[in-house]
Amino acid sequence: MNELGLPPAPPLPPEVRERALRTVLDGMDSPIGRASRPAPYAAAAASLVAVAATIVAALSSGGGPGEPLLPAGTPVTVVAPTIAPTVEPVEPLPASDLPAPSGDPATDTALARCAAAVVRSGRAAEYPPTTQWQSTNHLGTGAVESQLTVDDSFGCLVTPGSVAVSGVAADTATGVQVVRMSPGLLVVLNPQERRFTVGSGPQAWSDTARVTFLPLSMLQDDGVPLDSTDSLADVPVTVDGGSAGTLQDAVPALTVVDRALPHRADSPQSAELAACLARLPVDVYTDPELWIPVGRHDGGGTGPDAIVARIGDIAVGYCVDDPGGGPTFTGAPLPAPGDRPQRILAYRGGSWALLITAPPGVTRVEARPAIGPGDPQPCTMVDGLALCTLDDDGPVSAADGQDMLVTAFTEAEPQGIVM
Amino acid sequence: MSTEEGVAGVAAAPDDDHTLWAAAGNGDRQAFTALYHRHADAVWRHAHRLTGSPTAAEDVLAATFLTAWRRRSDVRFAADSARPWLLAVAGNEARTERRRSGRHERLAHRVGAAPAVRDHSDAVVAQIDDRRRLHRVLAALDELSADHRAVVELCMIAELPQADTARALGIPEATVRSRIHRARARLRVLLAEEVR
Repeated sequence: MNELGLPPAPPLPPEVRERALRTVLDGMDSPIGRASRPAPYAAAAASLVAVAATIVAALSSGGGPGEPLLPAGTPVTVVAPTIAPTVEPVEPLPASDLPAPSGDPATDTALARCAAAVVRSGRAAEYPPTTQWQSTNHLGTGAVESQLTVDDSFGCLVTPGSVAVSGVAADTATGVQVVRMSPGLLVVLNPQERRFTVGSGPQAWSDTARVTFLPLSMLQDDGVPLDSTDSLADVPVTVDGGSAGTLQDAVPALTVVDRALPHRADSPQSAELAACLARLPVDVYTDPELWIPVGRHDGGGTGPDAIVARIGDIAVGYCVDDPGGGPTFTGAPLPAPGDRPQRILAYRGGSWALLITAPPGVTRVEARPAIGPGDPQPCTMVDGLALCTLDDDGPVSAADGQDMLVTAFTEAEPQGIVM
Repeated sequence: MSTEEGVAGVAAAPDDDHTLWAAAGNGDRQAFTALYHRHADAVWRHAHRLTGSPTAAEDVLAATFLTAWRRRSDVRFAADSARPWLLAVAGNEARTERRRSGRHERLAHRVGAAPAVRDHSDAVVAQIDDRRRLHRVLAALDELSADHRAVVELCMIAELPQADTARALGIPEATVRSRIHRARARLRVLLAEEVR
């Protein structure tokens, strides 16, 4: 069951699989496909298609491809949200200790980091053998983090620089254990699938799942989402209607800092970026200090200003000073390098913004409204990226759902590449 | 090309989605067929949940991959799996299908009115309960505004992360959260048993 209580869907019958494939193959030969579909819906589909590619990266991000794990012998810091850090030596995880491949490389990478964190910290005896681990759920969160449920028994939070692993549920009196995975994220372990409730009133979270990732921001105090600075002593936990303490009783996860990533240094631009990131719910980025500003975009009076930031070769993002919603940060995994510019991250709020890659050979990038008058405006090229912003002057969109047309000019294609 | 070729292609193709999609972008049907076989089951299940009908789910399955084929040269992947993108397309196709076909009438026809319990065996009661629940959920989704429904379909049914939903819809994450919050509050009223 999912949150809406929908029942599991049946598997795809083989005859349906073949019949639908035949329909697809026949339709591929048609120049117009499902042209009978009403145009507005086709446009909506096209719009979703155009932007949904960014979903893939975050959903399957296991921490990023560009930052190798620390070499053997490098000290790592094992930290927990509520206990003093300790340091353990790194021991490389032999292939014989890795979980079996799942068929999804991103899941395998993330699961391997979780397993390595347990083994390296000397806590392997508290868990099932790592070779038997299976990811029963893998969800991307934010731009670069992901949550794994392992064996439907415990949770692992994978971030660009660290891994947090909950314990396997202890045999507590209530049958339920709450684990603090990060300052803004909890995991509720519930091996007996009892009905637990966190919080009170209409904003309480109630579930019977064996493993539940629960961001603090999903809980509210007088209508205001909780954050890491709020006292958790007043947030009750009940199991089958009976008291099971408060969130203050949450136990810390095993947290291993396994990647050496630089943190943001003090600067006016850093302070501005920090203020922008602080507007996000606290669970979106476990360590927002990893976002480092790399340049500023001047909107030039035709669009909002913005700061471009990145986490090494793992993720890029920007804080756009949206005239409607104020400073707004959005991020995405950095795509694999390519010879041609690639769309990375679009923003549509009270203004428009688009971040693309600008590989060597891109000479300039410009943007203009997709509909209506408007001279092309220069985009800012910085650090192999290009950011464009425009003010939103009206509700109209082009037929394909785009509001802003961005064109990248390269030495090889001086006529421009429409992004 | 026969469908048997596609099946064989899956068995013989160890390539990741990115590689297959790149090949499909150059018109390689076998690569595209391999992608179909790799993800058809997940797309079907999502479509089945959104339509409540195996017939409609089959239509959505085919429409999803047709859309994907037609847009194959527009798509760029930043990671290794095409599945979330295909699920997002499937959600859009399911909405389009429901709207185009006259949602209430077809929904009632496909899902059926909440049936009376005639058999008290556990399995049958559970099946009827599932159909009732599905009927209620799909009807409740129709009560939401278009903005809220889009967010609910991506976050709560496709179970995509809120940040990715924000990017897909081109709205700030804070807006997604507020819409989810408001939609959840509305759904708590409409679906008191399902949403707590």
